[in-house]
Amino acid sequence: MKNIFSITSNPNETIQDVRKQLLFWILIIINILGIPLVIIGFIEALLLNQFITACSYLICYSPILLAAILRNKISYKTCAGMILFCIYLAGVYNLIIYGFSGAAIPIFFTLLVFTTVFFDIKAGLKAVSLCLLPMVIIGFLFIQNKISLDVSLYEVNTYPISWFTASAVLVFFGILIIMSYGLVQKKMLHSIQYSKKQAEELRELNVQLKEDISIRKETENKLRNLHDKFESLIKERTSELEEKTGKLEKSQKSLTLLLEDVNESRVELDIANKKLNAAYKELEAFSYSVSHDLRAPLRHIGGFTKILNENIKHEIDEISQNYFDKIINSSKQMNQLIDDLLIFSRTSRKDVIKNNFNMKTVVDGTLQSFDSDIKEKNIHIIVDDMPDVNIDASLIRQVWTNLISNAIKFTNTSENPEIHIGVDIGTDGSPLFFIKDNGVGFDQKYVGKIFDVFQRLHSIDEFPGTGIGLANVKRIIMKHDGKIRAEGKINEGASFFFTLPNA
Amino acid sequence: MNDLKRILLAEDDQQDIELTLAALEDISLANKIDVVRDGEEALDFLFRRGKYKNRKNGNPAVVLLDLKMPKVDGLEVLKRIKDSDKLCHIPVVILTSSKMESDMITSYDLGVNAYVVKPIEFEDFVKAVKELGSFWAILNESPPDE
Repeated sequence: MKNIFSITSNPNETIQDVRKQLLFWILIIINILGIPLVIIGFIEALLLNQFITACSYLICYSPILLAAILRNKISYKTCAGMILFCIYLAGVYNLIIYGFSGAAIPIFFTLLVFTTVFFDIKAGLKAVSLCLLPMVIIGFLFIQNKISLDVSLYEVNTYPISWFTASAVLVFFGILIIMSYGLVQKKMLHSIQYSKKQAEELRELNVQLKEDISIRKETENKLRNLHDKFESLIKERTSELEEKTGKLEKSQKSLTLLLEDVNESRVELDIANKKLNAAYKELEAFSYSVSHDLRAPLRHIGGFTKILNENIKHEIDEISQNYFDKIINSSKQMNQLIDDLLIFSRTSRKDVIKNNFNMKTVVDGTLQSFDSDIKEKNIHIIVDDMPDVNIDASLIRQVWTNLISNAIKFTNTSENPEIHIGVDIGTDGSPLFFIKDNGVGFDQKYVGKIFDVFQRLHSIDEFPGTGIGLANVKRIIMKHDGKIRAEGKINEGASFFFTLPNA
Repeated sequence: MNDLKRILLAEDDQQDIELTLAALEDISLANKIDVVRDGEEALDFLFRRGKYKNRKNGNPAVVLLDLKMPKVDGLEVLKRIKDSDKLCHIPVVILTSSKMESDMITSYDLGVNAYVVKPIEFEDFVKAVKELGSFWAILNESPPDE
């Protein structure tokens, strides 16, 4: 049995349940108290031979007993109604027997209270009127002296005003009790409703919380998943990184090896360079030695032959003198050859060092060294204006020296020797330098040979020369990335054209 | 003009010596030539030591110095001459086959008076020698002996 004082513990408990519980307890209490009383009264009445009274006790009490016995089978209303009916009966009986001074008023008060408790305010008010009714009736009957009361009464009972007062009191206090209990009931209702609401809210909150928890759990799961994924990703990346690091190390190793190779190559290059330099120096020494050591004996040959010739000039015949001349000329020739060879080899080894010069200035400077020849042979020289060029001056001077000396040489036999030096615009827009003479010229069909080494188109007797001058010129022009060509007509003259494209 | 002026020729090539002498004969200087065959001899002669301890007093009017000589080469001789207080005034003419710029520069750095490259042509050689001889030994006033 639930504790009647813990009404608010169960939120689903209604007022009705409370009432039921109350009913139950009241039933028990009434029975506990009532049964002995009834028995005593019954026995007393029997002893006094008041059979009817005894029976009436029983009859009056039987509903309560019945209600107690059948409480689970009959409805709440019936049960409560039976109890209330008994109490009413008891009250009416008391009223009849003992009148106002009896326990009727208290019993009626009790009835009012129970009615309000078991039902509601309306029922309570109805009970008030029900209680009033017998009071009024009996009071009226009493006043009319139609009935008389058994027991000696207080005087107060005999006055109608006391019935009226009693009724008023019953009504007033009854209503008061009813109302206050009604209020109490309402408050209880409210509080129960409130706790119900709270319980409802709690339930809702609980549900929400559960939802939250489930969401959280979900989130946690997701997080764990992500974490796991993340971990696996990290592992992946780590392994990738390790792989890449491995590769990097490998490439680093190969790079180091490459560097070693490069260093080796560089060392080899250095060695090759040194060898080249050494070879170069050897070559220089060689050419120096050639020029120096070959020349001395030649000088002696030429020299002593000359002296010898001088000494026995008058004693030898023409043929012998002729032989002497041949020897001397040959040694001269050889000297010239050695010189030319030296110059030729030097120009091929020399690097081109370019600077800006005015071509006309270079030409004029070169012509100066031929001044005496030009004056002697009365050569008419024309030099046009020429542009600034970016050239190796010493090499280009050699070019002009060779060309001019050739021009002078081969106009030896002309009557009015003329040399024209100038510049045209070439087919590619770069300057085309030329030197033209009106000397002995050459056969154009041999023009292919004219720039070859040691190739001559005239005999030594006609014109001196080793045949190296033009080869040298061509070499120098080619070193400047240029081209040279020649045009000649026999006995009319020769022209030489050359370009210097990067000048 | 001092007829006693002599020329010191330092030359190792016999033929060149003969040619030089032949050339100088033409201008009557042949007998005034002292010939030494290498650098060491040249220095001995000039410093009056060794086998030239007792040579006659007096410095040559000019030293014709070849560069390529055995034992002590021409540049060394030149240096010694120009470093010495007693000999530094003596005119030195380098007469060599070498046309090397480096030789020329070194020689002038050391204070050579003239640098003549032996002409390839014999005639020119003779002409050059004659001119040198007649200038230095005849025309030029040699420094007074100390």
